[in-house]
Amino acid sequence: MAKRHPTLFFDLLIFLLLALAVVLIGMKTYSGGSGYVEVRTHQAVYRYALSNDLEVTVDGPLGPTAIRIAGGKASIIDSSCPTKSCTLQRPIASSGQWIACLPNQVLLTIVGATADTEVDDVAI
Amino acid sequence: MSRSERTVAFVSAVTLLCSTLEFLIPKPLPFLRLGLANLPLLIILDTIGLRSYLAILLLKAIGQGMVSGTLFSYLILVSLSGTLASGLAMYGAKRLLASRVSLVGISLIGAFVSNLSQIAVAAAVVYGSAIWIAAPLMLALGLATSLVLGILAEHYRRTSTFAPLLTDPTFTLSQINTERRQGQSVATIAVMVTIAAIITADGLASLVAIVVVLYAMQKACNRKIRLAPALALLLSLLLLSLAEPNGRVLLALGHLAVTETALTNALLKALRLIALLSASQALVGTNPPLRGKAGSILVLTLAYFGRLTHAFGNTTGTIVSRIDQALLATAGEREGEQAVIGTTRPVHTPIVVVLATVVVAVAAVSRLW
Repeated sequence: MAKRHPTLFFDLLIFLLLALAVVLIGMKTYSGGSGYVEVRTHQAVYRYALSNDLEVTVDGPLGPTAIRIAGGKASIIDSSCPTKSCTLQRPIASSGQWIACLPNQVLLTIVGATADTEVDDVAI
Repeated sequence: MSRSERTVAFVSAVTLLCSTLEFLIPKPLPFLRLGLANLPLLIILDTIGLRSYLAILLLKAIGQGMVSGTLFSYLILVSLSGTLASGLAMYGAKRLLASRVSLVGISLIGAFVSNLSQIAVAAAVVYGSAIWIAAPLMLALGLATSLVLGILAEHYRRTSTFAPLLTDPTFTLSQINTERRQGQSVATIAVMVTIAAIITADGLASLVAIVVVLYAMQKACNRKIRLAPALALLLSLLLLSLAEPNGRVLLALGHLAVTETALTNALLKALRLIALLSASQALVGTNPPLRGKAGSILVLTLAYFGRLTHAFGNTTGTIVSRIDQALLATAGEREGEQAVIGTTRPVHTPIVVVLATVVVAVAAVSRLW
C-alpha cells in the first residue's frame, strides 16, 4: 500500500538526485586533470601546475628565461637568447605540446593535460 | 531566562553531547563522520520556530568551538558554514515538503549541503582548489552515513519518551544557576596579540619556533595538547602539494613530484595554521568573557552540556535509552544547584605573557630579515 510509506517517494527522489549530483561532481573532478608544464634547463627540472596562473624565471646558460602560465596555458614571454623566437611560439596547453628555446637550453613540455576544452589548432 | 531561551540552550547542549559521543565512536576512516550532532536538529525541526532554530545553529557551532578549543581559529569558519548552510537547507526542505518527506530525506539533504559548503570554505581558507579531489568520496560517504542517521532519527522520534516533552506546554526545563569562572583578561589579551604575531610571521624556521612556543602557551593555559589534528593538517597539505607542482623538482615518481616552492608553501601554511589552532586553544583556556544575552545563553548551554555529559556517564542500556535518561535527568534537575563553567585550574598568566612576547619578537625578526 502506498499509504504505509507516505514519505517513500520523496525520500527516494532526494536520495537519487543527490546520488546523481555526487556522480556528476565526481566525473567533473576526475575527468581531464589540468596537468602541469615541465621545464627542463641545463641544470634542473621544474614543474608548474597549469591550474595556477603565475610567472617564473628559470636560468639557462645565457641568462634568465621568463615563463608565464595563464588560463591553463604556458608560454615563454622573455628570454636571454639572441633571436627571441621562442617568445613568438603559441602558448601550449595539451599533453605532449612543447616550446623550446634552443640557445638558452630551456624546454617546456605539457604533461598529463587532456585537451578537452577546445580544438587543438597547432596539430596541423 | 525565558522558556524558549532555555529550550534553545538545552537543544544546543544536546548537539554538543552528540558531537562528543561522535568523537568517542571508533571509526574505520578518520574523516568518516556520522554527523550525530545533526540528530537533535532533525528531531526538533517540526516543532521549532525559525528564530530559535537559527540560535541553536549558532550555539551548536560556537559551543563546539569552545569545547574543542577551535573557536578562535580558521576551523570555526568551516564548521559554521557547514552548520548554517545545512541547517537552513533542512529547515527549508521540511517546510517545503512537510509530511511528504521523512527525516531520512531531510538528513540526506543536510549532510550533502554540509559537506559541500565545508569543502568550499576549506578550499577558500585552507587547502586551495586541490581539495575538490576529495569531494566525490566525502559526498558519497556522507550520503551513506546520513541515510543511517536519518533512519536513527526517525526511530528515535517514534520511540523516545523525551522528544514529545519539549513541545509539551506543561513541561519546563530546569534552570541552572551558572557561575562563570573568573576570566584571565591579561592572558586573554596576550594570546590575542600572539595571534596577530602568528599571522604576520614569515619563514620556516621562525614558524617552527613559534609552534613550539605556542604548545608551551597552550599548556600554560591548561589546555590538553593533541598532536593528531596538527599531523593530519600537515599531511593533508603536503599530499595536496603533490597535486599542484610548483618549482624545482626535488623528487619525482611518475606524474607526482615533490617540488620546492609547493613544498615550502605547504609547510609554511601548515605551521601557521597549527600555531593558530594552538593559540585558539590557549584563548579558550583563558576563559574570555561572554557578555550580554547571547553570552548568557551560551553559558547556560555549556552548563546543560556539563550536566548532560555527567548524566550520560551514569546511564545504562541501549544508546537511545541512555540518551533519553540523560536528557530527562538534566531537564528535570533540581533548581538552585550551581554549575561552574570554564577551566577550573588557574592560567599561568606570567608565563603566557612571557611566551607571547617571545612570539612577537620572533615574528618581528622574521619580517625584518
